[in-house]
Amino acid sequence: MLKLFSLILILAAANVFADELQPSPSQTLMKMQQAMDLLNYHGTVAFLRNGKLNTLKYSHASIEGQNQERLITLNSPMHEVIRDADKVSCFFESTSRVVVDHRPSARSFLMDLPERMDGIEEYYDLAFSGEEQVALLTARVLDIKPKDAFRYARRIWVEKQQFLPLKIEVYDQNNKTIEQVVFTEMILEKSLPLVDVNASFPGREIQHIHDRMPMPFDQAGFELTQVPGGFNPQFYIQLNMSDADQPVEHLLLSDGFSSVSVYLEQKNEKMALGASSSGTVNSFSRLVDDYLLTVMGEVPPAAVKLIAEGVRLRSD
Amino acid sequence: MIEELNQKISQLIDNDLDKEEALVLLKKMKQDPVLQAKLSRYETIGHAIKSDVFLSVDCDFAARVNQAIHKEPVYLLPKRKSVFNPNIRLSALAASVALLAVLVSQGFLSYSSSESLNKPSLLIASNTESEPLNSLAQASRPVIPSDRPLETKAGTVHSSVSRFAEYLQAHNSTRYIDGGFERQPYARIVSYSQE
Amino acid sequence: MKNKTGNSEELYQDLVLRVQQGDKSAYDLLVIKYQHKIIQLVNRYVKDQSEAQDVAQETFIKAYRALANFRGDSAFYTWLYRIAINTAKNYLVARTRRGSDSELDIDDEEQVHNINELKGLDTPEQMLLNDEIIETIRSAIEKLPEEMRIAITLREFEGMSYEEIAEAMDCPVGTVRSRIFRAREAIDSKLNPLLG
Repeated sequence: MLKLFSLILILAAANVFADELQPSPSQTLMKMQQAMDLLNYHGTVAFLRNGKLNTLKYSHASIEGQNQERLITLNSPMHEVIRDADKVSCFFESTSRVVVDHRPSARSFLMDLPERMDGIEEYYDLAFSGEEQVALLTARVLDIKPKDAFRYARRIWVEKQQFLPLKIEVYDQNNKTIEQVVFTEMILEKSLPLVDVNASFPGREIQHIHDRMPMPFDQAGFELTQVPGGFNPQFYIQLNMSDADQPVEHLLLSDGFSSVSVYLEQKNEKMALGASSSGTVNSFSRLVDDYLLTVMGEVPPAAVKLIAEGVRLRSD
Repeated sequence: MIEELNQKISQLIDNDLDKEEALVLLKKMKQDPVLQAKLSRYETIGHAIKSDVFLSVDCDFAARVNQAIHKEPVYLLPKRKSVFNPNIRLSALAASVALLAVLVSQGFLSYSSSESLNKPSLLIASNTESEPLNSLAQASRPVIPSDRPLETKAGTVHSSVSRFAEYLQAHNSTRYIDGGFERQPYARIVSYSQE
Repeated sequence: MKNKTGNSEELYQDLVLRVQQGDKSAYDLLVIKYQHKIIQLVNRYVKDQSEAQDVAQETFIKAYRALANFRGDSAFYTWLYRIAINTAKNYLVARTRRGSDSELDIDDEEQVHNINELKGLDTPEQMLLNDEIIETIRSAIEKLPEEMRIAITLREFEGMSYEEIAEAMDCPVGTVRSRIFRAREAIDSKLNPLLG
């Protein structure tokens, strides 16, 4: 009897212990970020964005600190996109054309994640809301809720053992799903090879694009006087756009999960001023002296308006 | 005794200690910052001789790494079993069988870890016959949906092939996933390269 | 030397296995052994010495996390070395995204090395300290007895093994070992007071 009682006590303690050993929401997010960086995995992913569904083959390879993502379309126009730390390469099947864009790229095709997790809870509440099966794998459901009106909520289904994201949803302020990424299958491998884009196309024309090299932030012709907390500059470039005599300035901001672009160019009569939206992207345009300013991003209208209204031209 | 230890540190740098001696010394050094400092200075001397640069290493560098590592999970051997066990894998694949049927019918080589993945997969598959596709490379200007209404708060609708769409492409081009490949991020890039 | 090198390598492979079996303290020993080499390597890519230590720290953490995938195909240090280079390059790319060093070609080691020479010593105080220390080391080497000077130079500058130096200097390996140690001690006795 005593033995049985002891056994019950031990099992109960183990249960409590097991719960306590589960990582917290912020630890889970960190583990997920690490898993996305370090593990080798591939599968089929469906992206739902702006009401359109795209299904692609996805893979992530990691060897000795070097990462590479690959996406292959399953529908026309067929192409493959390969993301390395410092460039994104695209191979078009129909023309056998290869374009290598030396550009600052996001860390992952799947979702934006903060570089550092500390500080994220200043702007988001993180909490678990249960467990579900995704692609026949058990996942903990992690809710990421904004603390203000300047960003959208997210939910990530994080696989319980390897901490890879199986499903990601983004919701607008009416709790409507505006973006979804979901793996229909995911396979973990011990290793996956890296593609050397330069070596993979002997004899084929490779176009290298270097016109999106980032420049120091202080070279921007404008400054931001009001930005929702947590949004930090990611890069600043100058782009050539159609019908523009001068380059268009482009500054990208991000709070880790959402990104916002700020564009400044010579006054352009074609652009409508004020607030507008296209699918999940909201924007706000206004004139600043002789310049047209537009702020856009997958953030609530209040966020783009706030940023736009705080833009000032640099006096120097 | 100290001189003997210092000599061993000198040999450690040059991989001149046998296994046991090296292990004992490293364990001693872990407990003794004075010995670690000696190692650090010997290494500094070597680096200075090679490069004419004085490179100092914080005396608590190893301790900082130690602290960071101790927050990491512990490894357990044998290698962790893949939770994606074959039965579950097959079941998950079965859930995508409609997709696979489409791939097979298009003659597209299945993306599989058994294939050589050192090249882009589409390159491997490019020998298969496929339906004629719109050539992205032939676009001389951004291929963006035409006449897509743009709503404004004022209720005015403007047609697109517009600056807004170009902004959108530049904004979205960091992700490359944008649903609807009518908004071909690379179409714009290709068109620039043709200018 | 060949046997002893083999034994040293065996130790580090053993330590890796111990880490893979759950012994974190074994990793501490690997850090102690390789920290300087990794920081020196990373410093060739990264502008600032303290940033180099941050990147080196990240290297060791990444290597720890990736140890499950280390199959011993190469020596541990060779594998660690490659992680360090990739981590340093990623760091430079991230820094380039913020708009600094945009002209830097991260694959051009020569360029990186030269810029490091120019930029790694930012403040006048750092430059003075560097000059003083280098001068102290040079002067200490010049004052060494010839056989010690030759031994330490062949070891550090030419990277020769003890056996190779013994052959070059026509003396036993034990003598080489002793000369190198005494050379280091003599230089250290001048260097240590400067470092406080």
